[in-house]
Amino acid sequence: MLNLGYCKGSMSTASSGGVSDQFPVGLRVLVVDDDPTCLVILEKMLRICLYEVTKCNRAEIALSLLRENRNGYDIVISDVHMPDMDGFKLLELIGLEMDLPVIMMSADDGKNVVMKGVTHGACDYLIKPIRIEALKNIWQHVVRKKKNEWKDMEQSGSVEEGGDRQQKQSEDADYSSSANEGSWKNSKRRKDEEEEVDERDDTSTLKKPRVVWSVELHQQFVAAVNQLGIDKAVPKKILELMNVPGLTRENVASHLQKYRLYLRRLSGVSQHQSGMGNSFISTQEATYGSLSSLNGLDLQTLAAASQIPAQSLATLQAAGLGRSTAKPRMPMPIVDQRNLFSFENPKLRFGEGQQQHLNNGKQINLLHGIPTTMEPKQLANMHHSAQSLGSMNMQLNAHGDQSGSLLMQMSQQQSRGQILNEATSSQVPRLPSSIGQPIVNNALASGVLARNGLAESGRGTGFNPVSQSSSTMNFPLNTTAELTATSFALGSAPGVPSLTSKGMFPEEISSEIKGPGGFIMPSYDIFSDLQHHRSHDWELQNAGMTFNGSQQSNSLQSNVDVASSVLAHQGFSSSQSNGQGRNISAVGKPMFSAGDATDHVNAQSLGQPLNNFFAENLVRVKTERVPDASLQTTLFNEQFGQEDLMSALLKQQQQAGIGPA
Amino acid sequence: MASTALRQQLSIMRQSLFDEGILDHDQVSYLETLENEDDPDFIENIFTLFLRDSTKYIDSIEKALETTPIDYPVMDIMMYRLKGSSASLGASKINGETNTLIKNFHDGDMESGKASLQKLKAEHANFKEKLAVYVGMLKQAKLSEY
Repeated sequence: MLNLGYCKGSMSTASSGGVSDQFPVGLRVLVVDDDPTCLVILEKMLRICLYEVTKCNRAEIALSLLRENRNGYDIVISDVHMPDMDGFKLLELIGLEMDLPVIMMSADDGKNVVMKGVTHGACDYLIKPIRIEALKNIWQHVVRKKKNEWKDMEQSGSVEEGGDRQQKQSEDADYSSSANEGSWKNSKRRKDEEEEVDERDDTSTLKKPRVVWSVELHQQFVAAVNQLGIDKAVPKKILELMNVPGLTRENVASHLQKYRLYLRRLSGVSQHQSGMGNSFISTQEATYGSLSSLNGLDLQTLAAASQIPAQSLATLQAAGLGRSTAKPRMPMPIVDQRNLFSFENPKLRFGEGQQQHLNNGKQINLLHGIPTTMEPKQLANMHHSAQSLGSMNMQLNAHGDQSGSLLMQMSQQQSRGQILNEATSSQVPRLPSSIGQPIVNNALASGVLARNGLAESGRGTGFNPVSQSSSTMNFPLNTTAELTATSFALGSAPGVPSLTSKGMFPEEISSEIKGPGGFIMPSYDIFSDLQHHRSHDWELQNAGMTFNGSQQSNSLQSNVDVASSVLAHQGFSSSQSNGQGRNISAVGKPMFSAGDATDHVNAQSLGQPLNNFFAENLVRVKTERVPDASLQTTLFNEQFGQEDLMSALLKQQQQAGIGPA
Repeated sequence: MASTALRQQLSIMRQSLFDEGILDHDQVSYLETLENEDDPDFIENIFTLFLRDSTKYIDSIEKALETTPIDYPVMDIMMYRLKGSSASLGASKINGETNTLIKNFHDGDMESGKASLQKLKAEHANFKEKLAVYVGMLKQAKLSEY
């Protein structure tokens, strides 16, 4: 039942000439709603707004429409409660694959569900009944997104973009501010034209061509960049190295820009929301770098040893890091982190960043935990898997050489990463990029991960020297559904690690989180100091977790649930340095209790593969969240029954007195 | 003229629907402003759609309740759909009953939930009856206005 919106054809074309003081005419909207009545009313209102409307009553149809014609739509409006696919899942997929702004709508105005929309990356949430006024301004989301992408590109200071970009930027700025139908249309046209000019050297695209940066593609990209050296990596050479038919230099250039931003963010120059993930990663990288020596720990082994007490983990970690067996506590870094942390937590994170953050953090956390509990083999595995996941995070980490940033990242991201960082940062200098890189690669298996990473680094502003990548960058790991799921899975896994950071340290949690906490333990120690930060992380994590958790039907689910509950718990228990924590906690909680019938994450089916994937990547994971997730997953699956974990977490939650901090 | 008399009748009926609280005056008036010459049957269409779909939603809710174990996810989706479409249309009583239903079930109060479902069904039946007449009159009035 798809009606190709026959916009008043003349309208769109005529708009360029006329000056409507209203809204940009011809904005291409895809509206997805299962309810016919609402769909008709919405279509009507959108037409009145002079938009080009395509309506569709099935999420699957909407997705295929979008996939067939990636650049055919400017914005998507979707209902939350749909039978064939959860609206949030659709939201995530669209964000990952097409990177379009998505507006959620529903008659459900519960805070939890609205928060879900935010954390899943919706750029707005409308409550039904919807009035035309609400729709008149949706164009702002399209413009804003483009502007952000631009800014990222600009910040990256890519040579390619140069003058062209600036030119376009100013033009774009004009357009966006004027809300002039004519100008909007013109700028849109220009973008379309630009897109067609692939060969041009100066890419600076107002509207970036939508190349799907799958995980594999991104990995190739990162590998090429690493090979060339991040400073020497120019699009042309990267393109050559990658040797991907159909990929243009322009694509690579814009991707590189984002990547550089991401790295920059990781290095502690957090500006955008993405900070969180990134900073974390870089920190972790440093930490992991030292831990990489512990590679080789087998996931399985780790899983088997999931019951490792915190102390031993800490010891292992310390040992692995070449430090004394003292609890890995880095007072200094912690302080740094805290500072960084405190003003780094943009609320934005909660949205997309959050997700990303969670994913990243999780992975990284796992890594941290791994060294302590896992044998070198496991670490190696993790590392390996992390690599496959996505180089983004890793890359970022590689660049983060500042211990301070590392710490910050750690606290921000997920306790896991932090702990390691702390441990390592104090003693070990930042890991050489080379080390970090591989790990990062893995970590960013999916676009989501990448995004998270970005988001995270944003948070940890100033954490790592790693270049920052804004969350908006969404490092275009257009992961496939699988990947997404993976990252999500990880997200949930991080839940466990996050716990550690939150300060649910072994003492408290060990008994409950033993299994997955194997690696968490160490982090707890470290994190206890960073509790404040953690709570922040938690919040994010919780949010992320909840999403993930609910999604996963497999064993991952148990992890997630546990993690979520733990997260929620933590969020509350830890000092609420961040107001965010509260929010997230709340979010996480509901998710948890609701039993998440809906699938936020598309990972459900991937649960299994993810586990395997993660298992391999455990070693790699050190810096990456992903490994953590996998570890956890594995651990959870193998070691703990869902009920056990759940009850453990729930218990903790109760004890913690969950509730917005 | 027939059309005038018809329009008058229509207007009276419309007002009584508002007075009885079956339809929300503001929302319906708002929807009416959206109608234009490009789409003169807009109001008719949405009412017809709603009449059809709301019946389906309520049936689904009932069915979900009767299954063992109770299919809460489906129930939730249906309840929110009904809430959304009734709100968008201005079907106030149905919307109100749906809200009560949602609240009861979310509170875990099965007894009240089932009771409100019955109430919802009653309201819905009443709504259907009256709206069917109103839509019929709308169509007639249009026809007579060539």
